[in-house]
Amino acid sequence: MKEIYKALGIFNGLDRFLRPADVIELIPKFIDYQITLEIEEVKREYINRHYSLEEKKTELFFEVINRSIEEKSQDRKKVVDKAFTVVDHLLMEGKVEDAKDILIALIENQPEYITKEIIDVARDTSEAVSSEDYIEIKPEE
Amino acid sequence: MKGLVKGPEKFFKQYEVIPFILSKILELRELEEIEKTKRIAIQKDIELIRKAYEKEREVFRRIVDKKIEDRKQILKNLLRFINLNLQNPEVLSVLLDVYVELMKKPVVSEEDISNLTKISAKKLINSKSLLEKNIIEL
Repeated sequence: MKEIYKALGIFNGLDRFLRPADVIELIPKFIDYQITLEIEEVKREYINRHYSLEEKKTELFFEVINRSIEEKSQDRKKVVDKAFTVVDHLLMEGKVEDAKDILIALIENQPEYITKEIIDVARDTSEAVSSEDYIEIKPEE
Repeated sequence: MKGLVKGPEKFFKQYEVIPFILSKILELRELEEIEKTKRIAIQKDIELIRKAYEKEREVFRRIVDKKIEDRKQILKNLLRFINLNLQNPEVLSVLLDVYVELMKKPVVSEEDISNLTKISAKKLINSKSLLEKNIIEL
């Protein structure tokens, strides 16, 4: 009974007001309560693991996206430098219109940093990593 | 003797409501535990979405920074060429045309913004909300 009182947060000595029949009646309810406690504890553990995994997935997703942005940006810098080197040569050769075409194309064709492909790759990467871990964290039946 | 028998009867009658109250308290405690779990799930869900949106905003800022860097790089080179060809009207005219084209083009266009919105933090969490997926199933 002390366990029941403890669970209920009721002061000691309440047993003085309970008949044995009352106690017997309360025991199954107390067992149900204990089972609920255990189940909820498992659920919370599952929730924590699930969310920590989701967080990892999200971080990984953005890591891939950011890396891709950085790579594209570096490539673009190289393209711009090369384009101006070519423009320099063309101007020296007097091919002004060709130089203009290159410069206009350079302005028009800026890189697309976020594409569907990049998003798909980032998502696949994060999903692939998580699916392995996910098996481990599934609650036991 | 009579008094002794009658006393406990009275006592039990007075307190017979206690087991009922105790069983109700147990039921309430059970519900409390369930609600607590749900609250934790909701809180974690919100936290995750918030973090995802923060990361998404970081990506947006990063892209805008890269676009500005790109613009600066082109502008710097273009101005260098303009400076070198100040005495050459034909080349200067072409370079100024390019300069005007560059200035017409916004650093971040509507198309860029449309591309940026391809990521949506909410869409990222493709395992759906835990409430939908797990809590109800568990």
